[in-house]
Amino acid sequence: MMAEMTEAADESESFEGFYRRRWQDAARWATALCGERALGEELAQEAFIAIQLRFSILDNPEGYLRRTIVNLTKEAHRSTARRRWRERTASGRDRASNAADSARADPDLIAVLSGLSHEQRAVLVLRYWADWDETSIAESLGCQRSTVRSHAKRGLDQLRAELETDQ
Amino acid sequence: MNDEQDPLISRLRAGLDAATGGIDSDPPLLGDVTATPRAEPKRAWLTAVAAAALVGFTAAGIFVTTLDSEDSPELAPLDSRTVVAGTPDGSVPPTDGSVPPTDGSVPPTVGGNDQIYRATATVLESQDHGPQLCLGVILDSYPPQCGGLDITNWDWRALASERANETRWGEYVVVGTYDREAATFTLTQPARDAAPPTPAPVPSDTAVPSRYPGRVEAAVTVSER
Repeated sequence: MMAEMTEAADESESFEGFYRRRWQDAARWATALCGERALGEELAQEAFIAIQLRFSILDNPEGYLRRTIVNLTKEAHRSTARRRWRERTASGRDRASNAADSARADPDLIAVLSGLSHEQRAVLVLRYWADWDETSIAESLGCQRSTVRSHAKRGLDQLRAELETDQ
Repeated sequence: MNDEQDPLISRLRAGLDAATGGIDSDPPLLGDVTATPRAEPKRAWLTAVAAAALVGFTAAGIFVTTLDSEDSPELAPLDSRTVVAGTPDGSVPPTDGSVPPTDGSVPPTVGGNDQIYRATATVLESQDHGPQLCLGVILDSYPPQCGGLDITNWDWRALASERANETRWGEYVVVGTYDREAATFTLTQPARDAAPPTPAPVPSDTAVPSRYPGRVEAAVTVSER
């Protein structure tokens, strides 16, 4: 399971320090949300580039990172990043890393998760795996906390129904 | 059954741990940092009108830039409740006990070109121009159309927005400086969605009276980094 997201941030922390400290979690969030490791890592890099450009004016880089990751993964299906990723997956390195991850992962689970709406998938991933609190999820999705709970229930119901059907 | 005991959630955690377990803890070198590409602005007549209105009203001390006061946004300077004056050089001292910047950045000043403005407004990017802070009339088409100030450091990536026909827009709270000569707006704080998902209760002794019935405006502190 993911480490708690609320690691203490040093007020005087540089962008480089923030990047080193948060890279792995951000890449894992993005990968879990988009379902593909190479694309997830690319989206995480894109998020950090966005943050680097305005790090000096951010009073909450953690929150900005979370919102950016969620938004970028939502956009990924129609963005140029996905096209670039598709082009790059022709390379052997990416094919190998994705194949290795797929072998370790639960392909049925990943497939059902990918079929959920972005909001349901995000809530399940962020609440039950990444351990974000409801407020952070609501802020990142731009919805009410009650809507987060609704997405969680419906998403879990759908996940349960489809995985049981598969068995 | 709580979450810890639910076998489905256990499976979810294990599956995602496995799917993301190979990610290196050492971050890669970031690529070349470039600003989000922006379309070359084609300043429409509406932009000129809006900018002229802004200059005129600002000079008159009114700070209301709208062509239509009912439907259009205001670009309001932060007032004495939020801009803390008093240092000999006119700079704004921190209000939160933080140490003033030592990295060479210039703190905002009251009045002049470093005046910090706040607006709740539509920001729109289209094929014709980059992200602009809409001032004045917003044409009620789909997608909408408007003109205003180019925003020099806008980034859509952390913001919810709507898209249609290569136009992207949304309503946001923006805080930043206004360059009259260039007719540009530069954010000094990250923009945020105009309608937060869970509005926090505002203690009665710190609430800022709203110009609009039913709306409470949060105070913005310019010394935040």
